[in-house]
Order: sequence, then C-alpha cells, then structure tokens
Amino acid sequence: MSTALPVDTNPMNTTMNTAVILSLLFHGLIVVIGLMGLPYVKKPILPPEPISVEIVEIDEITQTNKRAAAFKEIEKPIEKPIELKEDKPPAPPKVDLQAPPQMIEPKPQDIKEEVKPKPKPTPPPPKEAELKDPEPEPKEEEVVEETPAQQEMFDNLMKNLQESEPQPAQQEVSEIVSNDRAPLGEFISSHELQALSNGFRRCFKIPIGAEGMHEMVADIRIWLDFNGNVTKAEFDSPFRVQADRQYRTLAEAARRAALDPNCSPVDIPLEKRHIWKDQYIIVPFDPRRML
Amino acid sequence: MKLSLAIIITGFLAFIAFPAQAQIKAPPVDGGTAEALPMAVSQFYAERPEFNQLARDIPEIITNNLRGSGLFNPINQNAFIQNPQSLEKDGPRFAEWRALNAQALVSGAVTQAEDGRTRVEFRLWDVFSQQQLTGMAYMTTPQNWRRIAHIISDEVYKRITGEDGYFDTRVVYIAESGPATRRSKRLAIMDQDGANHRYLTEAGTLVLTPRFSPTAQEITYMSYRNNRPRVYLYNIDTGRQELLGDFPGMTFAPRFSPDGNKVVMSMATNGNSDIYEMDLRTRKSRRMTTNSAIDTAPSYAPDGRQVVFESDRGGSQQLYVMDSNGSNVRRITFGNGRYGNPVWSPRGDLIAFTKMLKGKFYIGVIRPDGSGERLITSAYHVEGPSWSPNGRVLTYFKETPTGQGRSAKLYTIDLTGYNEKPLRTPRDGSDPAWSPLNP
Repeated sequence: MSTALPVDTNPMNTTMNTAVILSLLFHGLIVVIGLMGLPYVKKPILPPEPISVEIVEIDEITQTNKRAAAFKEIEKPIEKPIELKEDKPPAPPKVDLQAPPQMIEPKPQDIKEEVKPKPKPTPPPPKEAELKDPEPEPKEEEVVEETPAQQEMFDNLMKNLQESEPQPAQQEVSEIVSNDRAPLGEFISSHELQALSNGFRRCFKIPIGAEGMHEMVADIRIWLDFNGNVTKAEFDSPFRVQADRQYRTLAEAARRAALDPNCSPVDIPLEKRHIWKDQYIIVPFDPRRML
Repeated sequence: MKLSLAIIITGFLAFIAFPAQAQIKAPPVDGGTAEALPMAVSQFYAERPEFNQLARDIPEIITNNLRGSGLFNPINQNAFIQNPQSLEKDGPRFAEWRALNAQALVSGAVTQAEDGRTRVEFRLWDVFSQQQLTGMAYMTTPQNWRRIAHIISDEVYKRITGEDGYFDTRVVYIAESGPATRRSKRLAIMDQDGANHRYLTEAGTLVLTPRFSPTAQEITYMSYRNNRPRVYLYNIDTGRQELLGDFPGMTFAPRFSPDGNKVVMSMATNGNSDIYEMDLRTRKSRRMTTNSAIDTAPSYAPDGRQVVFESDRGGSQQLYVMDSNGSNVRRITFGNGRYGNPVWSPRGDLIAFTKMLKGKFYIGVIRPDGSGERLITSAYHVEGPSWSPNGRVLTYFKETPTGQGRSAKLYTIDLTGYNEKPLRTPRDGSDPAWSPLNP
C-alpha cells in the first residue's frame, strides 16, 4: 500500500500559494515601512542638546582688553602709577560720631576742620517753613500722571513709604460681576466670561518690576475638557513670543496661570458646554493696571 | 451623478475640517499676584563619584541665588520624587513635579569632557507646558564651580524674567573696622553673595565712594591719601592704583561713563564745587557745570546723553538733570526734604536717590522726568544706592546706632520695594557699588 502524499497538480492551488506569499511579503513590507517611516505614537523626550560654553578666568579676558591696552599707552606721559603700599598712612581723619549722619558728598569747605565722609556744610536743621522750595516750581502732584485708580493698583504691587492721602477703595471687578447666569441659550454672557477671567487672577504671577510690562497684554488660547478643566493653553501670538523677550516673559507667565491646576476647572457654565467644547477661548492677561 | 457625489464629499470634508465656530474671547485678566514662582532645583547627576560634591553644591548656590532674588520660591529638595539620575537619563516626569506645585524645574549633570575638563550642563523645564526652556553646558576647571553656579543662575533668571541676571557679579565697598574714633576704611571686593571676599587697599588711608567701570576691571574712588582728597583709579587685575589727574582742588564723587572711557566727578576750587568730566584716553578734562552753588554726585544716563546730579542751586539740595554737554539743566525733584546721591539705572527708566526728611533717611526711585517718586526703604541712616547691572536690584548701606557708635551694614532691595535683605560682609561696610556682569 502506497503511503505517498498526494501531489497537488491543480494549477489553481499553485497560483493561490504564490498569491499568499506575495500578499505576506507585501503586508510585511507595509509593516516595515510603517515601523520605520511613520511617526511614533508617543515621541520620546529628545530635548535639544545644551549649548557648550567655555569659562576662563576673568583676568585672562580683561588683561587683553583693548581699552585697557589703549589706556596703558597713555599712562606713561601723564604720570607714573602711584604705589600706595609704600606710603606711610596719614593720620586718619576725625569722625564726629555724635553728629547726625550727612548724606551728601564730601565738600572742600569742611576738610580742614573735620574730615567726614560727606563734609558738605550742613545748614541748621530746617524748620518746616524752610522745607518749602524757594522757587515757584510745579508741585509733584502736577507731574504725576497716574489716575487715582491706577495709582492705587500701583501701590498694591510696588512699595512706597511716601505718605499719601487715603484713596477710596476700588471695588474689585469680581464683585461687580453678577453671578447671574445668562439663560441657557446659544451664547456665553459677558458676566460668565468675566467670571472665567477672574478665576485666573490668583494663579497669574505678574512679572512685576520687569521692563515693559506696563504696556503689554498677552492673549492665551485655552481648551477645556468636559468638566471645564484647562487641557491645553497656547500663545495667541507665537511669533511675537519668539521675537520679543519681554513679551515672552508675560506670555509664559500667562500660560503658566492658565495651566495651573489650582485654577482648574474654570468658572464656566457646564450646561453650555455645547458652545465651548469644540473650540478654544481666548483669555487676555493684562497686567497694565497693576503696574 | 459623479459630479453630485464629488460635491457632496467635498462639502462633507470641508464641514469636518472647518467646523463653524464663533470665536470666544474672555475679558482681560486684569489682576494677579506678586508671589514668587514655585520651582524645583534638583541635585545634578554626577557621572563619577568625585563629582558628587559639585553635583550637590552647584544646585545649592543656584537655589540660594534664585531665592535671594525674591522672584523664585525653590521647593525643598526633600519633597522631590524623581532622582537626578532618572532626570538625566529619562527626562522629567512632569506629573510628579506638577504634584509638588513646581512650575519650573532645573536639572543638570556633572561629567568629564573628553579633554579632561569638568563639564557642567543644566536644563530648565517648564513643568506645565512640558517643554525645555533652555539648556547650556559649561566646560572649565573644577575651581570655577561657584562661577558656573552663578552663570547658570543668571541663565535661569534671564529665561524666566526676560531680563539679564545679576548673580555673576561682584560688589566693591568700603570695609570699616576699628574703634569709632579711629575708623579704618579700606576698599574691599566680593562676589554678590558675599563669597571670595578680599581687601584691595591697606588700612590707614581713608577711601570713599568706589565705583566700578562698566567695561573694564577698574574701580574709581576717592582717597584721602596725604590728606589730599583726590580721585584714583584701581586696576583689579594688577592691583595698580593711579591718581586721576592732578587738579588744583579737591576731586571727589567719581563715576564712570557708560562706555567706560570717561570719569565724571566733582572738583572743588575756591569754595565752590562743580562737575567735570575727564576723558581717560586723552586725560583732558571738561567742565560741565558753572554755578555758584554746590554741584556734585553726577551720574550718567545709560545712553550717555544726560547726567543727573545733586545741587543746592535752588536753595535746597535737590536733583537736577542736564544734557551731557552741560546744557538744558532742569530740576526733577520737588518734594519736601533734601535729595542726594542720584544714580541712573542701567535700564534708564529710573533714578535711585537718598532722601532726608524730618531727620530720617530714605532710599527712593524716581523717573528721569521727575514723576513717579517712590520711597522704598528708610532707617536712621540709609545711603549710597547702587544698581545691579540689570537695573532690578539696589544695594546700599544702613547705619544703626550702637553702644559705642554706629554699625554699618550692606543691604539689597528689589526696586519694587520688597525683598530687603542683608549682604553679608566680614565686618562693617558702606558705600557699596555693583559691578557689571563678569566678562
């Protein structure tokens, strides 16, 4: 009894085997191309390489300073450098420690009598009447241009020991805004948007003291999830962020405020999420009134 | 039929790609806080055991610098979850840093370069946006580790505030010692954090009002050598001192021009003092004021076009601004009290001054047009403000009465008027002057 395997002589089966092999090869090629060519689903963190800088001793640089070299050339015809180490120290000037401190630079008039750090002749303690300026000059109040409201906000962040008249307290914007919700409709009311903006105040760390902050506003685009949490925040003017270092400082501070978990979820009516769920909201961060 | 199908498909795709949206714009966030930025400064990763000390010390200096500025609030390292090695190898796990409320993160590594030198690199991360903000690597000798820490601090400060830092700088001042009746005053210099302190002059000669050159390793100051008060130059690199011109009268209150090529000062002749300017290249002097009153304490604007000075020409000691050719003199202070020691900010936007009112001293700032006067600190005696090179911080000295006389200490304060803190010195100190950023 023969046990030989049956030989498939059907030409259709042979063609099918070839097709299967080709199909496998083709799909394998697709997989290889996909693995090699397509972007990763999750990109690994590949931060840019740090910029290398070489540090040398200061005097290695300053000894070759061009200005110092030029300076050296003109030293000789003028006079020789004075070596103070060889000199005998002169008698130290007397310092009257009982006298009230003077804030002015040393003056020649008092040198012979008493050497003080600031021996300018000091007038007797001025009386109140003498404190007034002898010349009819404009008053300081006329020079300052800030409005009382601006001045009060300025005082909040910038210390000033100057005595000033008490100003009526400015009502917080958040207090003005009504908590009333607009009727459920196809828009978000200005009051509701105001509440959203007010919510970022406690997270907005204003770069006080930085130059130019008093004339900038940074717009940030925010995206919200189903519960009103900020999921993404981007600069509305990315090109300006790249070009303007001062603006970038403000914009990045604003973005940090927008992404701060302490300020999420934002105060926005969730029942109107059909209005805001598929788009971003522009939030301007404006430190001008505070500086 | 085909055309209709194409139109339908195109319309559908357009609907998918560009859903109709009405832009929502909220009102401005017009309020905020002045709180310091919470940030984390991690220990650096040490490639070898011999770098362990540097990997701890450099972040410590960075932490101290940033905290001292008052603008940053470094978080205690004990709270950190991710270790330096993981930070270096895998990058930050931002969720963990966000849980610590860190809004910025500094990581780094100390390794050995191919040429054998020490390589210190750092990266600054924005935790919320999960982006690297900047990264630098420095190659130097291990002895320069403090300077590297200051430079990294400056880079972090600059990237977040948008302004140059001031940590890689020095302060020259008058070191005071001895009994009250025989006070010794010497020139001394140190890093802005008090490290690397050294004396530049010997005791025995009274020196005052040192000022740094903005462009060279030079200091100008006034010395009472031979009981003749004159202005001198001191080269920090060589230690050489020289008299700045042989004027007939007393010269005092010197200060460099912004380009470092001139020194402006006061000269007193025949009982009157006026302001003069000396060109350091030609050694020619030029008189800038001609007034019978006392004009002194000149200070250039950063563009060199104007000079602020103090004068009693109006009957009381006030601040005046003039063009650098001596013309267009106008008074800028009109408040009660007396104003002196004006110093123009390197930013150009403010002038710092000392004010005396009703027996009390103040340090204040005012805009060059005379507006916006603010008094930011006061004491029994505060005087001699000097700006940090970025125009953000002031240093000055404060005297307090003691049992045997007075004690003088150096302080710094932010121009906002907050974050006043002492600048440590071995002994008493006065007349501080801030250097530019080290070259």
